[in-house]
Amino acid sequence: MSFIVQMSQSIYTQILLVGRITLFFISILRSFPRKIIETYQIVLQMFFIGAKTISIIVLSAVFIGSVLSIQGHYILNMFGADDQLGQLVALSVLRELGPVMTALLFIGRAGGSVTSEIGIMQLTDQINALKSMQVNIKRFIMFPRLVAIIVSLPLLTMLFNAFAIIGAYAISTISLKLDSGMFLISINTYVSFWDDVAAGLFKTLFFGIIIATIALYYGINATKSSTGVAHASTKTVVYSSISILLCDYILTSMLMRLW
Amino acid sequence: MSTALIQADNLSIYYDSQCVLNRINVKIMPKQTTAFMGPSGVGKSSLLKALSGQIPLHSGTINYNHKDPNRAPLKTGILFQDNALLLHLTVFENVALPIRYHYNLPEKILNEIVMMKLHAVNLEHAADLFPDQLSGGMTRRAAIARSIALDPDLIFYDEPFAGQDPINAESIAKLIKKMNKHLDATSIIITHEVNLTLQLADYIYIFDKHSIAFQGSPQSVSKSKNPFVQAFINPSLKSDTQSYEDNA
Repeated sequence: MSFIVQMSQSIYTQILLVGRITLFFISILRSFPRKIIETYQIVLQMFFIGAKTISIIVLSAVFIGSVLSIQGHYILNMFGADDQLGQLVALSVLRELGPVMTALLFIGRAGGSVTSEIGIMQLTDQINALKSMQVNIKRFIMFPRLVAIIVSLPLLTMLFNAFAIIGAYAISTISLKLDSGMFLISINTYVSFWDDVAAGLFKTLFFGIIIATIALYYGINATKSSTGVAHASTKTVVYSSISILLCDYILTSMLMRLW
Repeated sequence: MSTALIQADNLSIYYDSQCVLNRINVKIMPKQTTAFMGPSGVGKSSLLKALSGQIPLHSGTINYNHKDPNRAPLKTGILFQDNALLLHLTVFENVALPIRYHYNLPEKILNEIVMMKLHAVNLEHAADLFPDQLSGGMTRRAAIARSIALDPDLIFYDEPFAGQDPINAESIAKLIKKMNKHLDATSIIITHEVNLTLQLADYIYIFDKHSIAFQGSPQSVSKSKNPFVQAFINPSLKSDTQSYEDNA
């Protein structure tokens, strides 16, 4: 009986948390910048959050594409279908691996850092200092980071997709000695822009909203201590990752029916 | 007699159920430097936070002699205990931030204003440095420059001498005096530093056990026969403070 009570309490707490985070997201959305300095923060944050994540995304994409190419070739070769390697790699990357892997890498690189940055700003009274200068925290700190994450993630996913396919192409032609023409033709024949490319990028919009909201929520609510900031960063990484995978499942199910 | 700039009546502050300040009355006179002194944990910083509108009151009222009685005067500057400079901005950008945020000034004029503020705290040479490249004294002066960026009417100084060597502390005290004179501002200082405060302040509140133990001019503090005040302002009577606390 106590197990059921504990379970219900836990579910109730999680529902409350989701409600709070949703209200938090709405309150940030309503804090649209009104001053030039607030709007400029969006550009600044896109550089810190988006541009500085490019190297890790490109590097990971090349290796993931290469591994996918080797593993795909091993399986397709059993059925004498290694001319379909381009299609296998492209569809896997564009539909699933690209959006999800980019989001997971992004959480580790940018999500955790946004939470830590805001947590440390709380810890060292920087947020209070801004408030004392009558600076609107939601418009100056929160909104720019939210927009920067939501805009950066689809762009980074496009980069990931491109470099994963380039990596796979390089391995399949140089190392596996496959015909480069066949690799490219199979991509061109079987990959649809709307069904595969756009559907994958569409998911990243939701992933961006989830990552940004969770990172900002735990950052601003971090306990004022070094362990508090560390816990907040951990929560951001864990909850964002789980939410992304759950959201991916829901969106993929919906898109497969609708698209 | 002039009206108080801030008048707090029957002010109580609680954190959860723990009493920090209990029914105190404080008057801050305009153009004066008022100091809140006392041992750690008696609620001085909480009082400053309450007066600057950072934390809610449990009970009591705070009246500001300002156009809108429901909020603190618009032009306030706060020097935080940890300086609270934005770490990703240079000293120049830290000082420029409140001005950029509130006024849409041409870059040339902004540059002149910021350099004037940095000149006032003798930090023009450090304008392009980041906070982590500054010494403790320089960081404190940079934070003072930012707190006066908007030419405030009221400046809150939270432990301005904490962690400073005697020479730096002395120069910061001189700087505060200079700021008050030039800006014609009202200042509230929270500090443990007795000697500098006695020279700097016009009026002193000494706190003990969540209430005011003594209040008066620096001269009356020095002459006070109150055993707690005597023990507090004279470090050689530290053992007496201990016995006073034990008796209390």
